[in-house]
Amino acid sequence: MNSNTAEEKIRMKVEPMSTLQAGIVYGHEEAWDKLQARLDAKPARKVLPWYKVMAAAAALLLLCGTGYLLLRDNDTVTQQPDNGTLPTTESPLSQTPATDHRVATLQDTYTHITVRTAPIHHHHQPQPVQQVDEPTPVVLPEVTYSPEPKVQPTPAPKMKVVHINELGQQEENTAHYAWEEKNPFPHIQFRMKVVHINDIGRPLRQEDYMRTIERTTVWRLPFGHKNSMYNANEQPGSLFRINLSTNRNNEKATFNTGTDMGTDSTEPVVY
Amino acid sequence: MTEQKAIEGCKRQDRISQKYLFDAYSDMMLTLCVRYVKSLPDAEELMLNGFFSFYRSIDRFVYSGTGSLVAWLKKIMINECLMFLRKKGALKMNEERAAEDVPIDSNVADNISAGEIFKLITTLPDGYRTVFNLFAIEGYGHKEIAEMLNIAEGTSKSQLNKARAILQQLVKQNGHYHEQ
Repeated sequence: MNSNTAEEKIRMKVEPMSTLQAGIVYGHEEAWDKLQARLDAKPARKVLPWYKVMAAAAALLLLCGTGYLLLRDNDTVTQQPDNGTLPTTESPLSQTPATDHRVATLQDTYTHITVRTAPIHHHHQPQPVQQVDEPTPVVLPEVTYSPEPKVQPTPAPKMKVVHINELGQQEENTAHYAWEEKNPFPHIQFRMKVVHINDIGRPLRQEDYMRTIERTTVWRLPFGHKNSMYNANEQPGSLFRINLSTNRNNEKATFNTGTDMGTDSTEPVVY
Repeated sequence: MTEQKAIEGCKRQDRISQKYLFDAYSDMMLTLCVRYVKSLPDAEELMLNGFFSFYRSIDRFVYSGTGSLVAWLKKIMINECLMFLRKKGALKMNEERAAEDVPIDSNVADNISAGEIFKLITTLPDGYRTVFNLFAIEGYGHKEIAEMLNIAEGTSKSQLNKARAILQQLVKQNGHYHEQ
C-alpha cells in the first residue's frame, strides 16, 4: 500500500471530488436520457460474421461427407462374402469330387439376402477318422435318380416378321393387339413378314446404284476433304462386291468371295 | 429513499431507483473517468457504459454496508477506463527495471487545491497517469497493477516514480511549492 504522506494527502483531496470542483461541466439530464434509452432498448442480436458462418458450413459439410464415405466403405466391406473360395484354374476337374455350394448369409446388414457363392473345392482336407469297433452293415437309401432335370420352357413370344415398310402401318394395330388380346409379351409390337430371298426381286444394278449415289451425294468444299474418305466408287458393305474387271480369257466375272459364280454367257456379270 | 432500497429497486429494474443512484454517483464517477482518460466526451461515454453495466449486473451485487456500492461502481468504471485505454494502445509500456522509490515531497500537496492537483494529474502521460491513479488514488499495489495492465511489476514501479517526478516538477513550475 501507499505509505507516502504526500500521496495520502493527494488521495484525500482527489477521491471525493465532484465535477464542480474539478471544473467539469456536462449535461447531467442528457446523460441520464442517453442511459435510459440504452436501458429501454432491447439487447441487439449478435449477427455472426459471414466468414464464421462459412467456416461452420464448411466444417459441417466436411463432417457429413466424411461420415457418408465411411458408411459407404462399411457397406462395401459387409457385402464381401468372407466364406467360400473361388475354384482355381490349375486344379484338374478329376480332383473335384466333392463340391458344395455354401450359402453365405449377410446377417449383419442384409438379413433377407442370401448370396450363393462359387463351389468350394476341398483339397487334401483331412477327414475326421471315426473309430469303428464293429463293422455295421451299410444301408444305402433308395435314391430315385432323375437323369435330366426337366426345365420348363418359357413360353416363346409370338412374333410376326414384317417388312420394314410396314412398320408404320402395323404399329398401331400391334399395340392394340398387345393390350386387347392380353399378350404376355407386350414389348413385342411389330410383326415381320418372312420373305424368301428369291422373292425380293431383281438385285440392284451397279450402274443404277452409282447413279443414285451421285444424285444423292452432297457437294463438299474442296478444303479439308480427303479423297480416300469419299470415294464415289466405294460400295456399301451390305452389297456384293463385284470385281468388274473382265477376264476375257475366262470370260467370267468373279466375286470377291472367291466362290465361282460364273455363268455361261460371254458378257461380264455385273450383279 | 435509502441506498439499500434503491439497490433493491434497481434489481427490479425500477427506473426511479436507477435514477436515484445515477444522480447520487454520476458526478463522482465522471470525475474518476476524466482522471483516467482525460477527454470529457470519452469519460462521459465510459461513465454511461459503466452505469449500464452496473444496472445489468446488479443482481450479482450484495450490499454489505455503506461504501460497498461506491467501491463496486468504482471497480466497474476503472475497468471501463482501462479497457478503453487498452483499445487506444495507451497502455503499451516498455519493460523497465524497478527504480528506487522516489517519494513526493510532503509539502507538495499542502499548498495546492484539489482542482489544481486534479488538472496536474490529467496532464501526465497516459501510462504514468494510469499507474499513478491506480497506486496513489485507488490504493492498488504494484502486483495488482501489473496484473491489471499486463505489465511487469518493475515497470509499474518505474512508471510510478516517473509520474511522481513529473508531478513534483509541475507543482514547482506552477508556484505551489514552498520549501520549508
